[in-house]
Amino acid sequence: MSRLEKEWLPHLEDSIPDEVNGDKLSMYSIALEGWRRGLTTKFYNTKYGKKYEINYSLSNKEKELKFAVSKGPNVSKEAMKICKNKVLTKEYLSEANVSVPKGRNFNKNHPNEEIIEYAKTLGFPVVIKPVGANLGKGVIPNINNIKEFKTSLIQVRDVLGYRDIIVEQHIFGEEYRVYVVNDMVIGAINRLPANVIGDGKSTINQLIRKKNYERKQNPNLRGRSIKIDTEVKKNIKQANYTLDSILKKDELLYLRQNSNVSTGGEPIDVTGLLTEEMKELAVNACRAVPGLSQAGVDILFDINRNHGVVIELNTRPGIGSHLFPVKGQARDIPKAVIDYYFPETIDYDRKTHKNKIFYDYKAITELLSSGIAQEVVLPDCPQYDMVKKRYTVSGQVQKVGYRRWVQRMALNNRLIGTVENLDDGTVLIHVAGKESDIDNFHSTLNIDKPKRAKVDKVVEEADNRPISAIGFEIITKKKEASVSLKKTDRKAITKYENEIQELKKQRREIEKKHNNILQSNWWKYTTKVKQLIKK
Amino acid sequence: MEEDKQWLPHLSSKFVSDAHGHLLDAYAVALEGWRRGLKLRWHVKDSEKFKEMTTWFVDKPGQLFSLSSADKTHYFFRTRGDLVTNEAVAIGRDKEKTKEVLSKAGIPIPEGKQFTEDVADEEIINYANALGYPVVVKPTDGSFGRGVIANITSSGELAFSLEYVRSDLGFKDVIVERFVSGDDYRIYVVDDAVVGAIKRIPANITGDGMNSIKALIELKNEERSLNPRLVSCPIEINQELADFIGRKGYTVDTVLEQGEQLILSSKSNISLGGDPVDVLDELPEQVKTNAVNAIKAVPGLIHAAVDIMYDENDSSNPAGVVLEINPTAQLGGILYPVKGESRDVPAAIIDYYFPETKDIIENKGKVYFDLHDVLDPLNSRQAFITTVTPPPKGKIIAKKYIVSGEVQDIGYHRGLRKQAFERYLHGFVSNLEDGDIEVVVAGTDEEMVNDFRNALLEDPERSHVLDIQEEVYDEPIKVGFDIKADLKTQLEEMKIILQEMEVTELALKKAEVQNRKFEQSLSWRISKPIRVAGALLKKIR
Repeated sequence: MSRLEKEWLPHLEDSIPDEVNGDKLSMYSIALEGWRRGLTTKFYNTKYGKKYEINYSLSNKEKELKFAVSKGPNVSKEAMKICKNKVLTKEYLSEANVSVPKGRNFNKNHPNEEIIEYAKTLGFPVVIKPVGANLGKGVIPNINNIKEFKTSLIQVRDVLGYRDIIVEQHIFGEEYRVYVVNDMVIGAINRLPANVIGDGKSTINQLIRKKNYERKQNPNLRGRSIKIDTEVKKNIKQANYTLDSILKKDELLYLRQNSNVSTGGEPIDVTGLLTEEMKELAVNACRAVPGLSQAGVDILFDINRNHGVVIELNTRPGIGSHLFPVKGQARDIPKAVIDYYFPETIDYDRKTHKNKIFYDYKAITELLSSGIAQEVVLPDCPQYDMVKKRYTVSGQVQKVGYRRWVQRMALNNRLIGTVENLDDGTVLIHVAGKESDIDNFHSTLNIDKPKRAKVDKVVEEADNRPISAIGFEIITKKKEASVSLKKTDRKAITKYENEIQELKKQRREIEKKHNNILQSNWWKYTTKVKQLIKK
Repeated sequence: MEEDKQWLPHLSSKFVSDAHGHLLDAYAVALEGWRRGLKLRWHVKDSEKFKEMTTWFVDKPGQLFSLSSADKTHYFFRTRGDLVTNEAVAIGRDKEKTKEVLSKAGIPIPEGKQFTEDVADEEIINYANALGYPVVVKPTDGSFGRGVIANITSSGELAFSLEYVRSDLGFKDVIVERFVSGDDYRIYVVDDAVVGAIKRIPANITGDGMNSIKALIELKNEERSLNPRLVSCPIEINQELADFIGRKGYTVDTVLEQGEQLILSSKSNISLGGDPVDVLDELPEQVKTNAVNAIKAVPGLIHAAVDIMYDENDSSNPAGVVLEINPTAQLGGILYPVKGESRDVPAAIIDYYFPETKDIIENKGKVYFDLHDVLDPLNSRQAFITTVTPPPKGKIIAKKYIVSGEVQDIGYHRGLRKQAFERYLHGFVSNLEDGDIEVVVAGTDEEMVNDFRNALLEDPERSHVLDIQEEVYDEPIKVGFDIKADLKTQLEEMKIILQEMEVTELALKKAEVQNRKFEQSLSWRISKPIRVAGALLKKIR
């Protein structure tokens, strides 16, 4: 199907661990780009607003630069403040002659009646947006008449509780998210609202499920499935369907009005389709705000009239949609960001990317989000072509401390990889590193071993598995790890505890018996012999 | 009787239960600095300044850390900080050099000489004859008392000892010294003050009229296992021990009379089963001065342990004789003596490196961190440096909630952890037997702590909360938020229990075997003492 025509970045596609999805992609992939270029990479907990979150820093010998999501340190605090406030944003944009939709901001003291009067002067269609809300929460677009407007107003202000709102002209046209770094357009996506396309056989319900399955295959969309909520049901109803209706082949049904990726929207790369005017609009918007050296610019553009407006400026935009579009070509935002902040690394040899090595995101973030560590620094990324080998070791090599020993030997030789016990009693080792280090490691396997192990044979093979995370991990068997939880285990533990008590009792009894013998006559007799000898 | 000891409450076994061996020393010093608000980072080897510092056996993380204030950073290898120079460390590691430096400064040392591989035993014996007996033989580069033979009283015995140390054990380079009688003291000096002193008593047991020596040793080891320092140093029943008690005509099966104390070794090393006893208050001033002077004699040595042999009846050495200087000393014996008071050497060390933090005692016994969790990514080299979350500053407010309903979903618990993380709260969630959970949160922002009650109710998809009981909580707080009922913890618990079971089973088997021996072989039993005596006679000749 043409809808699935997409081209992702080869150095990223296979380097995204399962735990990295959605929002996490931005931090993960920009840190990865910097790390692969040899920058020192640190993750740390810090306060953002009132809450704590994980940020990261990249440094070379001269400087340490701090990042949050995809935002680097050159975005000033002032710029952040301006962009967070839609009213301020508009002021700055208008001042610089960047077109924005006409509209006005109302605070909690304005009665609904006054707002309704204003909407009339603006002319329909209009849009209502809460001030300071994120991710499109509470936005109601395309309001066509007074009646609709009144209902929507009550919904946003009284039901959802966003008292401060903006009422604006609803501008027709396509919405684009344009990623700008240092006055250059790096990528642009257009988002389709959550939708399904009929195949002439499946019900809408089935089509949504299929769509959600597809979304799971996309690192950016997994965990962001289409939920069948009131809005979705309303849209289906408006199209005169139910969840059980079967759509005709190729019939497109939109399930929502808004196109937010988090609620089912689909990002499509449109960088190649941008006109010069569109690019100019986005870049000028960034220039209009002092200290806004990078941003995700949301524009509405009517191609037919070749005119558009800027709706919003995002200082901490996620970049997952640019990296993993549903359609079109992925754009390398991480490269642009690192090029900008560390220009001396622009010439970095992309060939080393063929190692496709990445760091263990889970180990790092688990430790940070458990609140135990405040900062974690990654090991340096190996900057050489890696050789990969696998070894199968047979003999008495399980339950004798062999895996731990292998880990130590591998780390001593600066190798990365994994070691695991196989069901047939052998141990499987995957290693990657410098050829000479691997040779050393191999000979160690052949001549040495932990005390209790007995090695019969070490078989070496070339390994074509992609190198995964850094470090050397002992893989515990799935069986070991997936023991079902809680009550069963608690029971087992209680059982073992009882057994220990029983064994201890037995031991005490035997010792008592032992002591009785010691006090017997025989014993006393020999003691005397002993004393005689002593003299 | 054993309760005549007093340990530091802020370093009680609860806090250090995870830190064994050398990790204990590093953890005690790191914890002190961290509790004072210094930034604590754990490093893998060769990271930052550790490239230049002299260290050893540091493949395993947990021994290298750094502490930073706003304007400076100091690096530590176990208990030794970077103000101790590599040159000083080199002197401490080389016994001959130590003696040379000390002797130049007029510090009393045992007279003696070092002999290299090419010197024949005869020549060494001649030297000893001139020096006069008793003498002691020790390997030039030994440690933990390996290959040390003390109180050699004749040239015959020396010949035998040299044969044993140089040929059997393979320590070709040896030192022969005049044997100094007395007790073995370890004195810790920081700058020009003695901050801790212990006497080390060789492994010993006291009879009860019922148990055999072997059983008494096992009992003693059980007692040692409750001491954070001694848990890794049980008294080993081996040939050396059998030989030693054999000289007194005992075997491991001898039953000691009630109250009879038996020394089991000539060596007082704690690692060989010795007992540390605090003597800081009663140690004579001149011995302390001797220790301080010894440290001063070594250029670049700011803090270290000094081993002194001191005999109050020996008037020729009123200040004792310095045997060794250890710049990377273990502190466990001073922190966890079997008798007396434990002395806060970690505090003294941090006082020296960060004097501006001297008066910070807030929350000292109330906060700690999980060493293993922090070291985990370093162990697998997934990270190079981890920084421990700083302890809460200010008055800690803690609450315990007992939450009932459907509340044991691991997803719910992970959600609670996220809520705690975002609010910067510490604590844990733990499953209870009856299906409830126990949730503890602690922090310095009272509003956040109280607000957490709402967080308990915020996840109706993965929980169904019926009731929340609130209680006060005043146990020490581990930083971070721990999900105690998770897979990892349960498997770990299981592993520990299984290990314990294996140990018990083994002990059981041994006891059975022992029993059988008694029942089956009476004649063997009678003849044994005679055999031992015969062997001894051979040796004496």
